[in-house]
Amino acid sequence: MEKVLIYDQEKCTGCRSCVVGCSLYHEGECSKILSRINVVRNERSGESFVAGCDLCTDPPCAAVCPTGACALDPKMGISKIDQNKCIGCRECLIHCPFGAIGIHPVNKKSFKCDLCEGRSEGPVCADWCPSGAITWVSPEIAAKTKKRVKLQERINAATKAKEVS
Amino acid sequence: MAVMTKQQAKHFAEMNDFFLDLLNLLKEKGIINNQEHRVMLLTGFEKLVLNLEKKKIISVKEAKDAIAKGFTSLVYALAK
Amino acid sequence: MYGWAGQRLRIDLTKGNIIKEPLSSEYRRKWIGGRGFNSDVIYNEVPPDMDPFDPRTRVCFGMGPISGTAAPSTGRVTVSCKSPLTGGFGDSSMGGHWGAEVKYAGYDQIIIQGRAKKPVYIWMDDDKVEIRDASHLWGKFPRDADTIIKQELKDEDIHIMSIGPAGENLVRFACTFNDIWRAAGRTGHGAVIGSKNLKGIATRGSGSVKIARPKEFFAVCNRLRQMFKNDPMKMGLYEYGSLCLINFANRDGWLPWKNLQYGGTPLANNMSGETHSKTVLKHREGCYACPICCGRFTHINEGKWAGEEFGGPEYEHAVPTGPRVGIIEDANDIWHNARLTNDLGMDGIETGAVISAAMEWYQRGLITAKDTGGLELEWGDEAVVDQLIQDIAYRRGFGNILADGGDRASDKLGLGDKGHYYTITTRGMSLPGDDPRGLGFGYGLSFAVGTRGGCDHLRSLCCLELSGALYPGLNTKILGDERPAKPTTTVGKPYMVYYEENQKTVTDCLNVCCFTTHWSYAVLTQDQLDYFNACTGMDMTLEEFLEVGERVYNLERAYWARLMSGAREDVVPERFTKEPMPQHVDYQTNVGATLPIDEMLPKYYKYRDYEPGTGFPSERTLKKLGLDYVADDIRPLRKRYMSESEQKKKKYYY
Repeated sequence: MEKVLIYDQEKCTGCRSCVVGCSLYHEGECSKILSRINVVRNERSGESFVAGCDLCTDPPCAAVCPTGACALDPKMGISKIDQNKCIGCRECLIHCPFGAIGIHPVNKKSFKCDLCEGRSEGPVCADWCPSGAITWVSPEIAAKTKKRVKLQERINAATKAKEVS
Repeated sequence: MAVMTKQQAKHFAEMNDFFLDLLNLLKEKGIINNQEHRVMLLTGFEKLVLNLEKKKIISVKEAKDAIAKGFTSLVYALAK
Repeated sequence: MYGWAGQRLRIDLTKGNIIKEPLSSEYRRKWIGGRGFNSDVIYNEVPPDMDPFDPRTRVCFGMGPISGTAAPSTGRVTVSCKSPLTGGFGDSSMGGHWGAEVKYAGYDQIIIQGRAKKPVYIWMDDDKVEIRDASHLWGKFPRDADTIIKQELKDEDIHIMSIGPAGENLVRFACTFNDIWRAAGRTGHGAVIGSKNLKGIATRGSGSVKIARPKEFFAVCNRLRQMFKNDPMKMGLYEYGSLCLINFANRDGWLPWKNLQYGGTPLANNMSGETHSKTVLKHREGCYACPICCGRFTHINEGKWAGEEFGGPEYEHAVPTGPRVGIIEDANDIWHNARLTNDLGMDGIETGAVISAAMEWYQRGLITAKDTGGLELEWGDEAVVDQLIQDIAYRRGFGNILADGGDRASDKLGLGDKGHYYTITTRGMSLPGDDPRGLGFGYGLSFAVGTRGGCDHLRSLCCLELSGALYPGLNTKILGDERPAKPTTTVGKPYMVYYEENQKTVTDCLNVCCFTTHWSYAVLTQDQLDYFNACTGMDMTLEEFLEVGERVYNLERAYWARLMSGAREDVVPERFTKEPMPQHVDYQTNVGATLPIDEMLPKYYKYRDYEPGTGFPSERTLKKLGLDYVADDIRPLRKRYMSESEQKKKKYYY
């Protein structure tokens, strides 16, 4: 199966390397508002969250699009927005559960991640993420890894409980 | 091309901090001019080696050795 | 305009004026940005005899052309002023995200002058700038000011620079933060900002930084970011923060114990990055566009401080109010003390340094409990340290004396030269957690000559000797010799310091993080030039680029010359030259070491082309750097510096 972007929120450091890389790669400028991926920071608590496209296999953004501008690209496994067809109604933005769609500051149309289509190394955000909060992996490997990590956590907790008792 | 004597090379090799003195000697001998002295002081040893290689003061091999092994290799090459 | 925004903001708080000043191409080529812009303004606009709290003084926030771009680590801001601690040139650098936000709002620099009639803060909303009431924020910790401002402006995503209560109370080493926790720690600009009745600057920037050659710029940034993936320093810093240095510092004898009487302690591992990550690390954090992410967020889980949390600490932040004052047994005490200096808004280094100086005065009987308001300054007494940190911030009791810094405190207490022996300062500012008898002789040399005063590791940041062992061949490539990679040798150090100072200065002009290009050498000067040229299109040569570093450095040196500070003041604390390093653990590598500064200083002067008698920059070099007006300024001062009356003066601060 094609690779997907997986977000491990606990690892996000809030550095925005993904944001600035995405903006530079796609738009040739460095900014937050031109990026297809976003990072929310809470400096007071030290927490950060990355809001990126989750590559839904049945994307709500495509389902609500009135013109068909937003549609699933089956080869890439991600929904894409055709800028020519987009009428800027923002329904996709409202319905995305992950806040992954933005309004382009110049043409006022919706824009979103396209997995850096054509880049041999894969998406810039995953490539540049220093902490592994964003990875570009096959879903099977992501699932297996997660299971293994979670199982190890349960074993550690059980061992600790046993030592205490 | 011999820019210095073997004695001078030995003196440099034993110095605690050689770079400015070496650049001063090369300027004195007319190997590098004022501007080059300035550039290489700012930018470091590798630039000096490449400059000397370009001028054929030292050979390609001697330049390579100098960058790998450091200034003692360079000063002895300059004393040949 | 590529890279730069092309303008700076000048805000006069007396008049309430907000002026946008364009920055010409010549100006940007000459100074690049960040520290370069700031140093130029401070030199020209803050005369040597001006009181640091005079309303006419300036405090500058400098961003660079690279700030806010995709190059590695571009969030930093340089804050510069005439220091209330030293009386001389002062600056400091902070990480975070505010610097990028200011660039996106459209400014390369902010200059603050004048004094508001009552507490205010500045709200920069892209091109709309206004001065707002801050009476409800005065007295608040930065974390609370941050929360209130965000609620008031109805935007949780803005970035805010602010001071804490210590700055408001004019503690001479109060500091500045952005994003609550990222501190510009040193030289006391927090107090200058406080003296202007300014609480902070909130910024929303929805613009962008334009790039001259985007594909080329992306290629350079990408290449460098790939290098960071396997970089050994990155891995240590990411995993354990700058606290990854603790065990190395302890082994090599540069971790301050009891005011640098020793270079470490057998229990150092209590506060190592490894221990921190297993006990109190809640989150890792990263500054803007950083591939390293050395930031920490600490949450204390047990003991009397359980529940306290804060962003940080760094090595330099935790050590002074930890081992330097004899605290190591309970690391939670160290984290708590770091939390305090953050919330109160004071330089952790100077706070710990002044307390440890006082403790040594007490140890040696120079002061007694009568002088301290009854406090018994025993090493390692957390209750005393906890109280003193707060007393300093609020200028209470003995804390009020310490709040002016170690050398002024020594004079106030009438301790004479003996008191100054234990303050471990140069030009009035204290050494951080880097004993040069172990950290390295290159660092030691740079402590004597650094242009923000102080035994200051960040003027040279001689990582060619600190991290050199991790990058075999690098010393040879730059210096022509691998032997200087050894910290405790004088071989090659004069040139190393000259090179590193220039390189660090230009790094500060770009305002990128020196962790990417010292500490870690994933980025070299040529790489910086590559991304600078692709970003700005200015196409400098390598020598022009490094010459900017040399220019700014000489300008700062000339600032000190105008204060009659030169060769006679290029000294390190006598502890380093007189006291051989004692042993604290059996695996220590520098037992018996002293700093042979006299073997290195004269040669360094030759590299810098300083005049041997005065230590002032030479006329020849100043002219070469396009600083003719500076040469004119200091020409008449040479004779005065060499006069008998001037020679008799002992200057610990200015």
